[in-house]
Amino acid sequence: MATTHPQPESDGIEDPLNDFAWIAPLLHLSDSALPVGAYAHSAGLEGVVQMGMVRDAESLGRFLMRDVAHSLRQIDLPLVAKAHAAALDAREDELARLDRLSWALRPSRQIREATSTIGRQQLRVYGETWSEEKLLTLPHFQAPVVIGMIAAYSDIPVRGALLSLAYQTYSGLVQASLKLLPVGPQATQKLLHEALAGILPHLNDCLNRSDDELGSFNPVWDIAASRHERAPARMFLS
Amino acid sequence: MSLSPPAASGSLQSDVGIEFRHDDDRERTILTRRKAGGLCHIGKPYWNDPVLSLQLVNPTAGLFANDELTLSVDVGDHAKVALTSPSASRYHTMPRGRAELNQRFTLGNGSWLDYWPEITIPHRDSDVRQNTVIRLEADSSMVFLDTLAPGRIAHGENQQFRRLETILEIHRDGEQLVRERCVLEPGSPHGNWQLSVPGWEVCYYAAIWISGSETDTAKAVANAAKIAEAEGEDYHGGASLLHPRLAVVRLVANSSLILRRLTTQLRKQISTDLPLLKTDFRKI
Repeated sequence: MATTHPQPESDGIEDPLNDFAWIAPLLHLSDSALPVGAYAHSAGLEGVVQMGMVRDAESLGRFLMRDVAHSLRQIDLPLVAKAHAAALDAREDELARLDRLSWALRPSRQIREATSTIGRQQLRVYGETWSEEKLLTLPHFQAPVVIGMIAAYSDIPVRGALLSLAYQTYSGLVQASLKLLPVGPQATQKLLHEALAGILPHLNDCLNRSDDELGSFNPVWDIAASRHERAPARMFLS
Repeated sequence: MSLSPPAASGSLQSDVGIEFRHDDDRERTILTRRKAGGLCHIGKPYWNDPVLSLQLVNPTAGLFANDELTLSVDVGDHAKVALTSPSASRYHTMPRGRAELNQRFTLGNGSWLDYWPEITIPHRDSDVRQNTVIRLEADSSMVFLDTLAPGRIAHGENQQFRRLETILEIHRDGEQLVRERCVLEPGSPHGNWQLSVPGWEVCYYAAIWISGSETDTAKAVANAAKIAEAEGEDYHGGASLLHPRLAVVRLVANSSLILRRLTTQLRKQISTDLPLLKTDFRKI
């Protein structure tokens, strides 16, 4: 899959920056300003807040570093790694299988739809901005699979793709928390830093998880996300 | 019956198969094959027309170390079946070793399965891996209950099992609709926080999986949500329509009695949209 992200100009002398050309698309794709609609979703945080399980910075931190980290490690990050490998090998059937699996692993309708909406938008933006070829059609366009694909097509190393998804997840949640909780921007940036630092040691574990190891169980979060579907008032779509 | 020699002292390996078919001549569901014994026996079936109901009986009322139970339930085209258990399923104390329970449910075209067993209780030091796969074909429907206690609370055992791993997969017409994997290891860094609610001493869990026609599933989950999502200090619940033909109602409660009351209420409510759920299991 051809990409057109700009390469540093070469004057014939080997430029060490050439080794880092992938950082430009990584930063761009990870930017919260990317128009993928992530700002409209809270990934179940609004439901958890409505149930009173997250009330302040302390409980938000616990939610990010325990519940969200668990979900990233057991579902999202391994899927990114698998999709990255499949895209590098042009295994389109495997990408479609991973996309279906990602959808099946989501515990509520809104989370399934949100993950697909964001993934579909990410692929659309990528297609309109970077790619010169017709992009693969997926059954559900689940975000982890799309991110793994785009990263592979953009020469972004797999660990960069994992970090991008972790950053997008945590960043979206702390942005949502500013509207849902009595926490300030400085406190949420500290939490974002801690959450990313906390997930780093687990990236390697996520590279080779078997399908049998995938899946999570978090009844309170799942219940909160489900209740959000019928919440009388809500700020976010999920 | 297939009862293999024990792999370890006292352990059993059982391969249990039960098949149901719809008898066109009698216009009833009949039990056509029963391969049971060892870790699983079956009670006498009886009709709650048009549903054939049956109790699955575990003679030891649970699993011990190195026990392996494989249960295959095949509900043929248009057969209508209700399965339950007479008492709680117990994962007994096993300081060493692990027990395995593999369950396969296959539902043919136009069939119905009402699976409503008693609660599962993992005892102190138990280590069990439970794998459940449900395959639904075409116009089949089901209601499938899964309940979990945090241990023998009356004996002071709250999440004192070694490890509990449960995997659930639901497929319809070859498409995987659900994969859920729960790993609870109270004594390890993985912990047991998933089965906890702030302010509660204990946490019981239930999930009711509902699959009917698109209309019935949507109505059932909407009506079930009115009960599950009502405000309560002793429980929390939520209902979600995961697929046009599959919904789940999840519950957590701080006592077994409250969980049972809620699941009973929900069963009654869901039966208004899925009338085959009206089987009376004749339990005291």
